[in-house]
Amino acid sequence: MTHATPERLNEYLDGWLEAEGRAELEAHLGSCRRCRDELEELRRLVAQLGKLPRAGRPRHDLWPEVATRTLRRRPRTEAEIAVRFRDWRRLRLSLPQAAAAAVLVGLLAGGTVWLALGGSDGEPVGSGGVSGDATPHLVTTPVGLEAYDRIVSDLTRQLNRRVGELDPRTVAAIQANLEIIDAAILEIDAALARDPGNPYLNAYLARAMRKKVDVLRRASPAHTIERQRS
Amino acid sequence: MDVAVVTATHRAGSAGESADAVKRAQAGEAAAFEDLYREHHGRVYALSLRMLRDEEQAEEMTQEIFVQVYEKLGSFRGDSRFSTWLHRLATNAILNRLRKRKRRARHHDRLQDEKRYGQAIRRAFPETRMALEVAIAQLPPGAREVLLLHDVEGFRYREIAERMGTALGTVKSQLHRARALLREALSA
Repeated sequence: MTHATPERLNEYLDGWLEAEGRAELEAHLGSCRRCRDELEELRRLVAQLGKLPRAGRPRHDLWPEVATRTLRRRPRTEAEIAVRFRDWRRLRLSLPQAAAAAVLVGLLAGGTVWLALGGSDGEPVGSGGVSGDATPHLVTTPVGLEAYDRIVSDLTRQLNRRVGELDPRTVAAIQANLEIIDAAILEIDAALARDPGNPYLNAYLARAMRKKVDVLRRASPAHTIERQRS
Repeated sequence: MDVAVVTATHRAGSAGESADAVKRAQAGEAAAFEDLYREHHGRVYALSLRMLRDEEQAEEMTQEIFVQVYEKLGSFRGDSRFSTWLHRLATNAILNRLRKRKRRARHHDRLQDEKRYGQAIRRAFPETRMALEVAIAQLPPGAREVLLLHDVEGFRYREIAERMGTALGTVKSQLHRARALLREALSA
């Protein structure tokens, strides 16, 4: 009789054997005491490991050090906390794919989805994120919904990373502006769901989307701090 | 990935976990962050101590992990339980530390001072089975981490493979090897 290998017993215990292999092994176990004992020992060991205490006590309270390195690092303003812990709502238009495509076509035809973004001429925008640097000149590039979403996300990340450098009042103003624009986008989106071909709504949506990028871009600390200084 | 997290989540989740404390901490309430620390630090410390096998380093690691938790709290969106999210973050941080340490000095592969480690374990877990703890600490690197993550912490093979950047088959064989070595050590 061929005994079960330790690997097979382990696999059986961890539920890795297929039904056929399991049935085969169980049949063998029914008639082989040695393999049964092996399995039982293995099972006992795994059970003991599972019962080891999951929480341990350090020699001393580590909280004061953690608190010093986090909470007391520097006082944080209400506005800073609000921005730090909140990602601006990303664009999630409810329009079905076909309708969204129609919106884009409409927008492109009307020339209204051109976003003013930093970069050099010919540099693809939206493929690898957006530089938040102040730019010597602006180029306009058409972008799709997916690229737009990515741009907004990149700019938001940049803003959140450096939000501590901004005046809290500026942060609050940016936050309020973005809230208003987001609400408008959602509202237009809902209206477009009812009337996808409406050119006025299409143009209005494009304007709101462009405005959001513009606010985020202008809110980038490089821009804002410069303005605060001047 | 989601499936792999289930076991860890199941074992990690504490009934008293407070989603409210997470929200309050995200809103910047210092006391809420302290509550989260108090509720979860024991588990983070336990894993750090068993993985790093050094009391001082485990304490320092625990602090470091909670600093990371604080910094990343804003990115927690509640898709999983907070304890699962935190445990995942802790495991990654510890594995990273081990990787760096391994690159620096091979001698860390062996348990340096069994007596000292035994004292640290007794302080951390007064009720634990010492022989088993010491036998685990003496396992070779790789096998020890896999065994701790699978049999003690409840992670699944697949997630361990992802976190350790190794093949599923390697995880399996490391685990089987670890169990065999443990049985040998305990029966000696």
